[in-house]
Amino acid sequence: MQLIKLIHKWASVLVGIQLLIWLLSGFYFNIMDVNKIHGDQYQNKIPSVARSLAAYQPKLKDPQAILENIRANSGSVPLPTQSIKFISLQEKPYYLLTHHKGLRRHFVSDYTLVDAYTGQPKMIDAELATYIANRSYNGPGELLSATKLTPPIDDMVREKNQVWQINFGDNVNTSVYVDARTGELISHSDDDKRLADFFFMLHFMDYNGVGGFNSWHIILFAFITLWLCLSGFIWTIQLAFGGNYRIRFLAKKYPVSVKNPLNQSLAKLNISSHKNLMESLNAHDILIPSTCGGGGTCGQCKVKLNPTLSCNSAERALLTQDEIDAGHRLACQHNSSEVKEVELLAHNAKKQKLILTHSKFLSPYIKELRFKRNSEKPLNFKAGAYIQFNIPAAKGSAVPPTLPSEFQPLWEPIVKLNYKHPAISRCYSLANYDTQTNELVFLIKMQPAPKADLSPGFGSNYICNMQPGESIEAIGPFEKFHVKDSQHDVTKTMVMIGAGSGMAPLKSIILEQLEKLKCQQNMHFYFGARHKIDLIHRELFEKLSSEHQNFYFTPVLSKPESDWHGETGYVQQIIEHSFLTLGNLNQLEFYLCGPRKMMLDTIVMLKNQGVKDSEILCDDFSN
Amino acid sequence: MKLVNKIRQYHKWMMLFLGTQFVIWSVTGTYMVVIDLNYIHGNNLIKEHQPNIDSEDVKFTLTDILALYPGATDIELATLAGQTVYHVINGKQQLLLSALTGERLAPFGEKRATEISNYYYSGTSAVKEINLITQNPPYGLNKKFLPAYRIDYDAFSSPSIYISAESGKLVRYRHNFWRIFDWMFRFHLADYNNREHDNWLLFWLTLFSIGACLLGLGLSYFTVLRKAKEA
Repeated sequence: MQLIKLIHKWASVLVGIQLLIWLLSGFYFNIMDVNKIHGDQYQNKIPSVARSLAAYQPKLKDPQAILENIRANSGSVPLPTQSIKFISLQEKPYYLLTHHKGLRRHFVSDYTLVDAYTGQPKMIDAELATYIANRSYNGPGELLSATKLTPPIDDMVREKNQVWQINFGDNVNTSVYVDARTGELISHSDDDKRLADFFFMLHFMDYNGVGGFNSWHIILFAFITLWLCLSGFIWTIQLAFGGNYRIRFLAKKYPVSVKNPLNQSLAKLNISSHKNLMESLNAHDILIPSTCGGGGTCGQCKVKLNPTLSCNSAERALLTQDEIDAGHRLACQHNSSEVKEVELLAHNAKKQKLILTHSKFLSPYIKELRFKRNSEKPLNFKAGAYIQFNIPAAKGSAVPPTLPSEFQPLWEPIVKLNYKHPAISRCYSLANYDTQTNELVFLIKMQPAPKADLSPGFGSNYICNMQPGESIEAIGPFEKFHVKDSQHDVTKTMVMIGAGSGMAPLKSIILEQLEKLKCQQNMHFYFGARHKIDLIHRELFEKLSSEHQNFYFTPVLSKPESDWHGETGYVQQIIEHSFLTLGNLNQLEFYLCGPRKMMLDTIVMLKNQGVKDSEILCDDFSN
Repeated sequence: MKLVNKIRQYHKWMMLFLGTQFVIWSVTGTYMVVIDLNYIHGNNLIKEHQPNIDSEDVKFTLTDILALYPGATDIELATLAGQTVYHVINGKQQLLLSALTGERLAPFGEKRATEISNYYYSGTSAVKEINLITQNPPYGLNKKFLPAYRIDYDAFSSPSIYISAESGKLVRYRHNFWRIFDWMFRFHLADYNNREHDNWLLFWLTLFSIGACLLGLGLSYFTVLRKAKEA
């Protein structure tokens, strides 16, 4: 089922816009005036006046004589003639000779028109073409021009033969098309038809103008759309059988008690079963994080329910077996009829106002921000938690207005781009633990633009450019990344691996373990950076490692200066080299936070060393 | 409620009613674009002869024709499956004459109809059935082509070739891929009672589908393009 959802999501990204174009152009075909799209609103039905051939006699040449004439006049290779047909144009008799005939009218063909009295070839000239066009035209327009066209012809993309185009100056710019060899009236075209043709071009994705719908790109899009629709169909059926379509007035209300992780009651709510738990709790201002909006694809809306409650495919895919056994479920996959009690993992997740108190650069691009809460009540959270900031639409600048003088040279190459951004939300991990101070501390990297003409990270730049005293709306904290809940035994060794601003949740955990919980377990902290200048909080961790025998701090530089005597390279390489010194494989727990590439490489390295998935915890928000 | 939750709710509910229509559109649409239109039209079923008239075969003259049929308004000298013929319109009468003798060649029997049909048919399979249709044309054949012989071939796609019983001309050719295509086309347009215009069912289906599609695009935006967190 997760595969179906994945297919649906990515197929929608690939063909979503085209699907909308198909629907919009299809809608146009439905509402358009069918009498106008043929382009024949000024077309006369010419009554066929059948005139007996006898009226032209006895001057008419015999068809056989015409044949002989052709043979005599066409040199060594006689022009093959498969039919000779009597026609009259401008009330004069002609024979139309067919030399080559296409299977359809617009296919390549070859004809000669000859005068039926003299046997002399007759060209359809502008005068005759205009005469033919005029007879079929009954609009108000003046004759504007007559042009002989060679394919390709815009109004008739499939036409392979020469035609006369006779234009009339009316309100819809009518053009009349006459076959340049036979004098046959082909069709009228006008602006209404051209508009319809434009929509057909869109609907058929016929951007090369071949007049068909068998191009490789439409076939590709059709197949992806087929996958999109079938996966959506299966998903809908699964939702229906899973009881996800509930009608408000048929649903009942059930009492649900909501508790925080310390098993303290937060609220007793009467919740209707027609919505899922995530929405119901959100409606009561108990905000459950989610980026997918309840599709069971992001796995962020975890809560603790009755461990015996059945779990569906989304939960089996997104939760670990340990979590399922502990009763963790996705709030978007259950409703109030199934549960009596919800224990929040991310408690107190209410909207609140945070006021910036301090903002300072720790390294050229990383700032430490301290916020004060509006409320005096202490905020409890597990170390490693994060806060979601609701950033308003605003104007921004790629370079901060004030910079410490020592970092100024590093910002000089960055283009001073001004930009506007929409309202967005961004999550940042807390870098302190809950009873440490009554402030909330963050380490935020100002994301630079990947290219000179692109905007930098909207969220990080907005927050880092806030002035002390300014406030911002925030939700949380949310606890997703934290020390394992299982009973702590002192024989375990915790290995923290971080880089850049990924230090934040690890710093929070380390400080909580050492200072608040006085933990005696061995704890290693490997921190990667490029240059010495990027080693934020170096003094703090060096002080901690000298004060605590069980804490080891290893800074690693990838582009060290010549006076660097510490470890050099990437953190994952250093850990790989010293892996055996960390302790018994079964006693190791790993906590990772940093750039995606570093985390992926580290996970691969750890798995190669035999570390189990369940012992690697990552702070990863990239889904 | 968060916007993304609301969007998902509406998308979910709308698709409960529209989902089947989206499957119909994508299945029929895929069939129509995947199979080459020339093949659908059956152009491969027909041999493109470009026969040349041999003037030796023309002994009956225009004067002879007009003497017999003074009201003739249309005359065409052509060949028909190896025979040189005149197609003549005489008042409401359509005539097929031998160019050699002026003898009337139509109406003709099943044997000649099969010969003409085989002359055009590009395949090698045998004739399965031959019928003279004088009224109630089968689906896909306009009434104006009647009377006509329908020659069915015993091949994979069940090709049928229609030969006019009056002029001997090839008037239509159809096979199963065309029949399926035609059915798919009407299904694609939600044309359930054979009226191409004023289709109010299609109007409402399309209108709501545009809404559901926009909601779906919103979901794609929220779940894929907008990241939850800067690292």
